[in-house]
Amino acid sequence: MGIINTKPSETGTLETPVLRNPLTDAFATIGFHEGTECEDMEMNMLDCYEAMGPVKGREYCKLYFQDFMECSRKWKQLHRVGDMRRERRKQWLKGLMGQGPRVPLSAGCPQHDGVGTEALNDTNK
Amino acid sequence: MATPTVNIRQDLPPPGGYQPINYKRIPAKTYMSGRTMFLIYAFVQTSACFIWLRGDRKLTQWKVEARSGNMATIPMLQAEKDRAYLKVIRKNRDLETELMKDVPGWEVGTYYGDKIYWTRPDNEWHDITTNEYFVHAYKSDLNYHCNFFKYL
Repeated sequence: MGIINTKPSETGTLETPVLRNPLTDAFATIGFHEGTECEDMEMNMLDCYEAMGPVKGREYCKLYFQDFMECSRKWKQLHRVGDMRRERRKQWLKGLMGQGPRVPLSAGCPQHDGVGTEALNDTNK
Repeated sequence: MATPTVNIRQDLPPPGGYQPINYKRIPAKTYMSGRTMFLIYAFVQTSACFIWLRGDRKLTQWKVEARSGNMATIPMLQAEKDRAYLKVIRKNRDLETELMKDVPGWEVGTYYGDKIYWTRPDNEWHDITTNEYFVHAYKSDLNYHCNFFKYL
């Protein structure tokens, strides 16, 4: 949809704007996730909302919307991280991870090199 | 008043007069003619062109060799990188299973039973965030690896 909306098309899809200039396509992606990892989910969500409308879409397109927001904001994954960190600290304070003067709070930093110790120790896997 | 007699010799031209002023142009010594110079120039240029072409061909060969080496080794290196990444993720999953076994309602890989992505297939891969990658490590490790470029 452009600056001025003409009458809706018969196919129900988005039309080209009336006022077009060479910068229309260049700035068309601003405010959308086109070209990022979330473009498919955004497109699914928009298609669903376009078909269902804003009122019914709240119910029918809930999962699409949640997936898109998860891809965009990643709150679920970050809450997972926070809960796991909190649980680990709780167990550490309770002493479930071992008694002693120097029990580490972490389970070790991941060694993310293909030829490092992490790869050499796990050759049987 | 008597004037003192002093032997004074006045500056005068030498006998016979001065030599004539040499106003004739003395041209520089010419080693070769212009035609010879042009010929030498053309010879040097053509020789340099051949030498340059030879070196350029050699350089192109080196570049092709280096590019071939890169194209041959990059898939292996990238596969090793992905392998190490997957190993870390598997270890994280095992640690999560062990850590959150007593938490009620918790399922591994989900947020209290909620899938991360509802409409995606279960076997579809999605990359995890950096915070989730370092979830079982210290936050200082996360900060170190996120800010490592500042030490360079």
